[in-house]
Amino acid sequence: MDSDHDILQAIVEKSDIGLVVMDEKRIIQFANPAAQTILNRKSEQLVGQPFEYPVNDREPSIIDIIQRNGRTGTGQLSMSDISWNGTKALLVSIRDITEQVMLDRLKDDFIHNVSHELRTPLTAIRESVAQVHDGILGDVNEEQKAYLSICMRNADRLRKIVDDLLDISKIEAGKIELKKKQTDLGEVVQSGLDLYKPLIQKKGLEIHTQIPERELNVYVDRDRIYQVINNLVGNALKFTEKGSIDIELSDKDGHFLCSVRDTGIGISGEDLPRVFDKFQQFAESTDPKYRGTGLGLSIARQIVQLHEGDIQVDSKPNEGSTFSFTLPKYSSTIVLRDVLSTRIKKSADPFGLLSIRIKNLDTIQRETSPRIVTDALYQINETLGSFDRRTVPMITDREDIILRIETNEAQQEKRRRKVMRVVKEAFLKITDTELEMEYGTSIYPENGPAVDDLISSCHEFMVNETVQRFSKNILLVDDETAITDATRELLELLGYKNIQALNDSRAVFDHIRNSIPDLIILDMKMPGMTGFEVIGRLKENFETQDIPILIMSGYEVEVGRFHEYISKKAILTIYKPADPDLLRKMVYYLI
Amino acid sequence: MAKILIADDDPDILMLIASRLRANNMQVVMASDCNQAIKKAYSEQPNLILMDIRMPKVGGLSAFNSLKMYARTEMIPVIFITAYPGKEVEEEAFQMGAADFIAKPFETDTLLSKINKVLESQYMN
Repeated sequence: MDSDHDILQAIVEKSDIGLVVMDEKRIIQFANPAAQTILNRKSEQLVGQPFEYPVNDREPSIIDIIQRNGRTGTGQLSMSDISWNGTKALLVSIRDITEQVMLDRLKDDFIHNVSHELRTPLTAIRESVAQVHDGILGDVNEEQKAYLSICMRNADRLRKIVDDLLDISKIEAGKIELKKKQTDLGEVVQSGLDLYKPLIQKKGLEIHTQIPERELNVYVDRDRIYQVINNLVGNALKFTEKGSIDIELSDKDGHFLCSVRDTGIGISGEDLPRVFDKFQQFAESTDPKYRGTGLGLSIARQIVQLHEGDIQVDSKPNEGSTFSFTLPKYSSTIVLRDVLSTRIKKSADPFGLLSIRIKNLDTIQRETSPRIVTDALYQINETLGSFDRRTVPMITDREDIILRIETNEAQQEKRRRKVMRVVKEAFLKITDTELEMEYGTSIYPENGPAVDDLISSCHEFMVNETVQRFSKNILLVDDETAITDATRELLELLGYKNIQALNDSRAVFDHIRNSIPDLIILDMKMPGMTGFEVIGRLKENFETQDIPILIMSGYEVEVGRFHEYISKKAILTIYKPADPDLLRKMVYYLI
Repeated sequence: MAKILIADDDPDILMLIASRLRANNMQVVMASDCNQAIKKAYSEQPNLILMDIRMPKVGGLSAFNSLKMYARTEMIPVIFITAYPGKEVEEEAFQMGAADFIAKPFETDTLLSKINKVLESQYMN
């Protein structure tokens, strides 16, 4: 009789799911035959080695695998805690999902291709009928025109179905690229409604709108939101025979609420939960005039959700329906979050990922770690050059920083070493210390932040940076009031808030005694004390020698003994009249 | 009266665009593949060429290249028709010197306005 142990062993040996056990340091302790097959490595090559692939205990990760026949496939990894020989260990399950991925792709391609193939004949149908209808081929009587119109209308319906299909397949595949911009929601809603006004009036329905006069700014892809409005109003029109259609746009705290209410046939309680699902059409719609693609609301919901909004419906049979959706208000926060999350999510797909753990930052470094990481990222991105690379930093609250660098050949030892070298150099430049690094270990430490946390911390960091920068003190020194006034205006337009101006160079040092400015913008040719003398005295004094200086001069300046500062870029020169863009860049550089 | 050369391998589309253009006072020359398109462009000297980007034998873009090589045809503006609008294809076409781009299926209004726009700018030059 087989013991429990034998049975379990048989299960593990014969399972077609790869199973890998690793210790807390991610060193592989055991790999079953299926794992060896999927990872295309023998047991000896795995046990004792660090587990190279990204995996975490929260969500499955996707990796590239090389199949036995040499082709690249796709694997899915998931992880959980177990106990191994009495100590804590990690169990990784590996599935070969190459076939599923291929099928998915085939399905998407199919929908895409078919949709396009359908379009050409549809155009031919519509266009040929339209030309006869328009009298191009000879006179047509009213009755003939009416019948031709039937053909055109239905060709249009077919066309809409094809467009919707294409749309939804793109949205589901995540291939929709939203072009978000600051937009006036009121204008979009009004336009969406205007398109349907003639039809609504023709049907004898009343239209009531409550759209505030002022600009209601949102950060959206205008065409897509227009599409949502069209969809909702179109539905309201379709399902309402008498009464009215009301559109309301209101300002709630932090977001806008748009609702479209009709007095139509309504939706039954049992159909209500499925309203936004795909291909849903309801009992009442056996009547051909109610039929549509069943995709419109599903698309509308996807679009609204992609904009971080919500959509819902309230309805009673024969009493009408109210569809409403929300959109967050425009703010620089929203824009920044969107930009960050798009970039981070794009590179969050761990294909061929190299993860590098930078260990044991001391306290000072830890406090400045967001800055270190951002700077390092710039350097790394600049240097990696021909690699396919995207970097995503993960800032943890432990002593480590983990960088995920996506390279196509993360599995090649040579490439890995080169990337490591680049990262080491980048950090060396910034922290002046050779940081200890190891690579290939899991990128998700057990208690690490999720992508959302990362976005929040990057965002917070960048916002604080901006606020800090614009609060810095700038001192303008020029004997001509016109110049200081003009420069002050320019700087204020750029966002800087604390600007002082002195028109007598001799007053500079008294002023500085009270508060040391973060930047001095200095004219050279001044009575009393020239710009040179000012700089000279500033540089002699320990407390003031590091203040960055921007020389604003009307003529070529002979910098002579200050050339050292010029080459270190601690002093820059800008020629009057100051080009606003150049001024902006120089000030930004200096502070 | 403007002379337009239409090159498309779909005979229905060819005929429909032709009748639309004629109804708008334009003279029409037709070609159903790239070689024919190049030959007719050379012999007929149209004011504008409307060409499907994806055609058998040679393909719209390479036909365009050929047209650029002959003095007699290099100045004729070309509007490409495509069934699969995508930024890369557009970019490439514009870089090669295409006058404009239109995606299938199109509204005749759009087609007409694009043609007129290109013809006008030709005229100004």
